[in-house]
Amino acid sequence: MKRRLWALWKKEWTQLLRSRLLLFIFFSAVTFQLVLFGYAVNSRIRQVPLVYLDEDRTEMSRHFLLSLRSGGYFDMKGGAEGGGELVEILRKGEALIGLKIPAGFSEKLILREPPSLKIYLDGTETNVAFLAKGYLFRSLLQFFRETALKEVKTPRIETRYILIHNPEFKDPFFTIPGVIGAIVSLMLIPWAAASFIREKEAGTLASLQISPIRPVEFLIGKAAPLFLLTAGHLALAFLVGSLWFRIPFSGSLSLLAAASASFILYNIAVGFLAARFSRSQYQAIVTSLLMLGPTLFLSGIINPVKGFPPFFRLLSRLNPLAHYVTISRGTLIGELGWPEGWPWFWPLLLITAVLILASLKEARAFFHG
Amino acid sequence: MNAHRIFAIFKTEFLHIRRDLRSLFNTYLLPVLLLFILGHVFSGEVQSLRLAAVDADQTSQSRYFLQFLENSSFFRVGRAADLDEAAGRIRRDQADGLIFIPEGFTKKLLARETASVEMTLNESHPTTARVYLSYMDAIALAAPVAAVRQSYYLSSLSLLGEFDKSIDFSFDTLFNPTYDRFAFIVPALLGCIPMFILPLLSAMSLVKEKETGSLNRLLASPATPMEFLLGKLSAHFLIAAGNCFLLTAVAFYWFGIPFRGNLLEYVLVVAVFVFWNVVSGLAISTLTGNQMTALVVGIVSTLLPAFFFSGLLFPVATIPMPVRLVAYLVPAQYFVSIAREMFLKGTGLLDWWPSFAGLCLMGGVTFAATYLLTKRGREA
Repeated sequence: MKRRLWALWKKEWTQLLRSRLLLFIFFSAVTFQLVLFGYAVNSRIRQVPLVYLDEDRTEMSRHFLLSLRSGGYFDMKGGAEGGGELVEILRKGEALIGLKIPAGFSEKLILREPPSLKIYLDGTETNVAFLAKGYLFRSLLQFFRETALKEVKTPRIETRYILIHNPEFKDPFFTIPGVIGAIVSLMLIPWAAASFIREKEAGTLASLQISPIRPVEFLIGKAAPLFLLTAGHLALAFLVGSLWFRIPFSGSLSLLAAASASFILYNIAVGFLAARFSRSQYQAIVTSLLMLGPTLFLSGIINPVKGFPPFFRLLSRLNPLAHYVTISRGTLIGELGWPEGWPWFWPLLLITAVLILASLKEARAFFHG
Repeated sequence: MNAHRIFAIFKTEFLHIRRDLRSLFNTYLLPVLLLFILGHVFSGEVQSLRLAAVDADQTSQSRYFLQFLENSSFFRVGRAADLDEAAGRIRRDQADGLIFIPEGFTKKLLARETASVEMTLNESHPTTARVYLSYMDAIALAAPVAAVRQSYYLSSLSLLGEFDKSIDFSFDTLFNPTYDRFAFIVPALLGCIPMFILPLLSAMSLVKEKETGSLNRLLASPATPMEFLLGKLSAHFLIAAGNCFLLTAVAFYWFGIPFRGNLLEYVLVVAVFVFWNVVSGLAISTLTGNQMTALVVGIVSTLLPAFFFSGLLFPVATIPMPVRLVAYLVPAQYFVSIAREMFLKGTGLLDWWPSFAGLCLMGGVTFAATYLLTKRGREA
């Protein structure tokens, strides 16, 4: 059995190494993209374009606008002449926020009454609108305190923030582990599916059938090089993450390695099963994409699972990618160890085991079919 | 150019596609499934945050502050005896963070000095964390103001309790007044999902012929490169356009997204966008030799960029500069911005023509490149 496996192993490597372009893209482009995507997701909103309408036209209102400008959150696009122009500028998309300072603004401040402002938000960009709203609110309160309540000497409460695992609010810390998991799934499932079915389509399976190789050996012999290749790919991706984005790797490395191994096997098994129930490479790839799509987006790679609607949160509990991303995030940027990671690891392991057993059971049908 | 020959190529291509009914069905099922999942998953709201509060000061003022937090609907405050207990709650996922009020908090407040509180968040998603922190900042600013100025007390309390409906600080949300998250996400997905899969699928379906060798027969036929291209394109264009309209129908009828634009303009934009998708699939198929390579090239060059650089979740303007240039090469980005304009604002071609021009330019350039590649491939 050992010799037969060795022969298959050698054949697979020869085939893999022949497709240089494929390997080149697999390793270099993906690594390059990881760096790009690390920057693509950016939660810090800077320079949100803002248009204002100053109906108060006093020293105080100009002072307030100046304080907004120096805050750095807003990009002051200048003043509008009237309410109509303000809305028109927003409609054209030249600004995301419209700020109307009504007449009597400074009068109220002098009387130490709460200032009034009218704010128009562009609801087509809800994420930005939410953040910008918070900034404006804060700016106004700050201004109120510095002007109207100056003599009252209001006490201050200052908040110090600690973001566990990510004290500097680095977005790549959240994005990179997710993207790594997604790319592995995205590449490996269709690739594995195609590599199995190709033997059938090209007719090379027939020559394997008449050799002494047994179905299970065929399965292992084809899966092993894919496993190694992907493991290397993961290692490279983690290396890029740690060297370029300075991801700390503060959790349990053995947990990460075990979860990665299990996750790779899961992907290969899904790929094989897609091939088992397909007639051609194209069909197998389309089928595997169909299985991939939902798992990819029900995993919380981009937005946290906590924010999902309840039904979709439940679905994500059944999703191996979600478990893997939780573990890799926990070990890469947090201090996740075996005891805390176990609730995430065992479902991943269980799903992988079930799929491997199913693959072994189907190996004969595929090999002789 | 010979219309007859183009039609012949169109017919063969169509037959090829129709032969594999299961895959054809799947190529229609996949985008709808994705729209359904992504539409729901990305429109999640920011949930209220569970805070374990450790009050080392134990005065009426510190309790008042915690009450103040509780009254704002953003935080749910549960008392913890000490920091260890609070940390334990975070570890067991019974709290998302803790707030610590140190001893001397009230003393400092009464002396009109700066008192400090500490908030620790266990939130790996920086965007969500930032939203909570900005709420917290606002509360920390408002609480002492409220305490000092009784007349301001009521209004600021209601201000925080109902962020939107405060008396004096009024917000008016244009174009999407109810913050309908579906309306924000779904029109954008109408551009992203096709770019995820259409180039990929047409590239693989076309490159298949190279593998089976049936391409050689076509190359030996009298069809010119242009006829060849147009014949192939039109078949895949039809399938892809059908896909886009199915998605639009799901957006209208399942998600109930309002449409305020001009339907004719929408059809035009979709046509140009679908054209780009199909042409880029063709381009990938001319560059690669087998389905697996086509797949990997497709994932790297169209699927992933469509997701990260389309402005689906955050505007392209927030991407730092050298990386942002990549976004301008992603057609989904133009489509997303046009779709939001049309669906939510109801603006017309005159308002978003620069994006439309970008889309046309991408389509034209890709087509020209594909034509040259096909021509070279035939001569070789």
